Amino acid sequence: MNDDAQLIAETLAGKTKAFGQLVLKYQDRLYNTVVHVVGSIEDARDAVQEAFVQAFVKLETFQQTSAFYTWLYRIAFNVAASHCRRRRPTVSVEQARENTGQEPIDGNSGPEQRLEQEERCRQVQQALAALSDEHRTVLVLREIDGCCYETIAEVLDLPVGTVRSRLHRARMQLREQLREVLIADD
Amino acid sequence: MGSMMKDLPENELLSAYLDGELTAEEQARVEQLLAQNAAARQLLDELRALSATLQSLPARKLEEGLSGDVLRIAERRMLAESPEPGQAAEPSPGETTAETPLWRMIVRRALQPRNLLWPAIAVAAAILIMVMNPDRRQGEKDLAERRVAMAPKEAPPAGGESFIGPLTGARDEAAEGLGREGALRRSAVAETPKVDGTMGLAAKARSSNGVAAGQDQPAAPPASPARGMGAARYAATERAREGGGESAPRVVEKRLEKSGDTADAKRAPAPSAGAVPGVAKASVAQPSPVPPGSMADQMKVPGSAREEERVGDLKAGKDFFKEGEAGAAQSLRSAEPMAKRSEEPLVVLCEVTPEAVREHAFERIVDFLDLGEARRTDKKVKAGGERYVEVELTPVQVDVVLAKLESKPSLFPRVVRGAAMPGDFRGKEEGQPVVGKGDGTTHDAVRLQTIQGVEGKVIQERQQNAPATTPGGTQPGFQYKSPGMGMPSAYGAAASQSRTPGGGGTGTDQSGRGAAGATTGQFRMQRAAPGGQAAGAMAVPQGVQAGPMAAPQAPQAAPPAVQMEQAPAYPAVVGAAPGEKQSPAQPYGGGFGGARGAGGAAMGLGGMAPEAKQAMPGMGARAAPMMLKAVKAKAASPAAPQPATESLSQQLDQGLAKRRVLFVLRLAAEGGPTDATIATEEQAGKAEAAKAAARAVQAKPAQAPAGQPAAEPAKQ
Repeated sequence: MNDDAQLIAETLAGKTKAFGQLVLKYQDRLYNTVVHVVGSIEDARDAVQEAFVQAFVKLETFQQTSAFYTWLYRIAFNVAASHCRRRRPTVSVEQARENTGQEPIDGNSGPEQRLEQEERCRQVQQALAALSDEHRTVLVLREIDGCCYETIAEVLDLPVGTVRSRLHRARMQLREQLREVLIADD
Repeated sequence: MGSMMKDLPENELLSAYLDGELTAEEQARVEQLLAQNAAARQLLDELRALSATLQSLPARKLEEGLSGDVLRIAERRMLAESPEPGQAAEPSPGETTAETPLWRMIVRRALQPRNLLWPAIAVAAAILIMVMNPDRRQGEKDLAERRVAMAPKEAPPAGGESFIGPLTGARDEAAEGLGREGALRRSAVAETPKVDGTMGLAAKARSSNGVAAGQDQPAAPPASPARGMGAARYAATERAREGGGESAPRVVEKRLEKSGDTADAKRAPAPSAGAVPGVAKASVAQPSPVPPGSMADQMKVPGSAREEERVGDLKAGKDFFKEGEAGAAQSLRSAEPMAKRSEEPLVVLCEVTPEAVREHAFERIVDFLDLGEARRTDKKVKAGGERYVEVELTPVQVDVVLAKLESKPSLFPRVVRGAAMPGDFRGKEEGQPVVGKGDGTTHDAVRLQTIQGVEGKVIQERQQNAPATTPGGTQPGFQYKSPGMGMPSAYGAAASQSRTPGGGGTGTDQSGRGAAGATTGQFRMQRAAPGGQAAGAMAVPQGVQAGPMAAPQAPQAAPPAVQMEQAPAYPAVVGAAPGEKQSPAQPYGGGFGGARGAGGAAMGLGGMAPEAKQAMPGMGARAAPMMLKAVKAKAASPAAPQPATESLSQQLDQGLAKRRVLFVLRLAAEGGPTDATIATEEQAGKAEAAKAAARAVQAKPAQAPAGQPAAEPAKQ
């Protein structure tokens, strides 16, 4: 029994603090993924929190045939998808920066490099926001969270082939949008 | 290879190759392509750079932990969304594959309020139709005709508005005579005398019960006697006084005078404590069940003067119900439902003329109303005899029958509602085998079966709906299961009563019947007395020794009177027989169960003699203290919670449940028996007065000082 399974068992036994450990374990990772999907730090926080709440409430229904993290991501992406359906953000450059907050740029770099990094992040986020939800989600899960195709397919409840094709199209669209950035990097 | 190059931008193998998600075969093909095609290599480099760019985005972290908020919100939500019966858990987005069962969805939808609306409306409509049935309308029409004939133009509308049914509040408004709408209706009704009469007499027919009940409570202050009197009668009296017209009750009064009732009341030397003075009008036509010199006769002494005075007040039109206007309405509201609750039959004394006997007038009325098979005794109506017809009627049907009877004064010269239970009927019924049944079935058994058949379900439902059971099983306002008895106390008391000859007060818990069973069963008490004396007064027997047992301790009945005020169950009784009391302090809702409970408690303490305790172990002795305890506890809490709104079934029950009505058909003398009675009794009264004067004169010389001439009395 892995750590997650142990914590889940304790939670189901009535030790709610065990679930708190699960929250602490996965909250940042989940948040980092969701914030790129929903495009807003506040919405991302709410979505993550709601995902944990739902996971706690419905923990008894978790059959543990998959990883807890995968199950949690599925809940989180459903919540995020619902949120996106309710309020589709109109992303602009400034808004993207505001939504994602201050960029945590490397403090060791100089001011000029820091400005360049900020500008690149802004462009990437803008390009991500321009993608469709399904493409952005797949791309974020792959590039930001590092999920394998199978996990992505499980989280999004899609066939692996669909994940691969969507991911390739998302990359091609993002490549077109970030062509100048990529050229500049080269 | 050519096709791969041609579709290079669409070739997802490069992206998968970048992610390492290809099979060995696919990977070999992609590597061959990359080795031969520079564009493929360039695309792969761009994808790799893009991926690096995305992965280089700074990772974001939450500034604070979510665990506290998550757990708090989750627990709150779990409490709020605690699983309800029939509510399936929402499918989890993960492995939650359990779907909501179809039946749960159906139940959930069926229980939605909007889906219950139309059935409720349909039921309400059905109730309205049943209440406003044509038979009842016909009866009221007859009443109207008779009312017009008796109370011509000067009589203002008495009832103000016809009642729609026992469940409506129309007659409340009519009784109070205060509502603006009611005034408008009355003004409109005044133009249509028939309708007016209908309303007046319809109210009168009900108010006659109130007349019999509790207006003469010796120990009670005169603040609320109106509750014991028919509210319609009171309201009409008020209007008559204000408008100067002759009220419908006055008309009724005239009728009673004509029939000798009020004359009897005027001549009545002193109503016995057992015969409630308020019932004097109703009971005076009956032979007094209390023989002179009996214990009950002795008991009349303390309250006789007051009662006589009160009767005089009634005669003089003095309205001591002035303060009880609200109480009048309460009494009216409470009248009908209480009637049907009573296990004791409503006794209706009906004098029938020989012509009515010949024409079978009463039977025709019963047949006309289609009341079903009436339970009739085999006793024939003959001169000086009686015949009993027992039927089970709803409150509305009671009104209709009475209206029918009263509409034919030539056949039924006198109809008294709430008369005394005839002693010979009682004696025949209790403990006696049913004629024609050779299996030893007693009248008690038949009667209990009847009661249980009609009301058993009601009581059972009431018990099931009882909110809580007080210690000892006492449920104020509800049935109390008598210890040691296998049936609810109401029945247990009835059954036990007959087995307690001369028990001197069984002191039952709620029904109070056992209390009246202090006698040999000739009388039964239905109401608890608020003032105390009535507790003993109610137990007036037919010349048996129970009175003194109940009377001395009767003041202990006072706490139950408080209970009656707070009793939540059912309102007051309609017809009060001699020996019955209706609590002046009993407001609307002062319930049947409460009254019964109070009565039981009162008699359990005050009326229970040691002999009775021995005779009835486990009945009054245990029931009464527990009841009193519950009563005190309830009285001690000023904000005693009232019962919740009655369920639909209870409302139905109140409006449709039947009660036993015993018609005592008494043959009237030819040519107007009442007039003859009046004349005879007036003569007798004058003779008695002359004798009394003579006795006084004869006694005076004896008290005179010595030396007075002995011939003085002769002069006088």
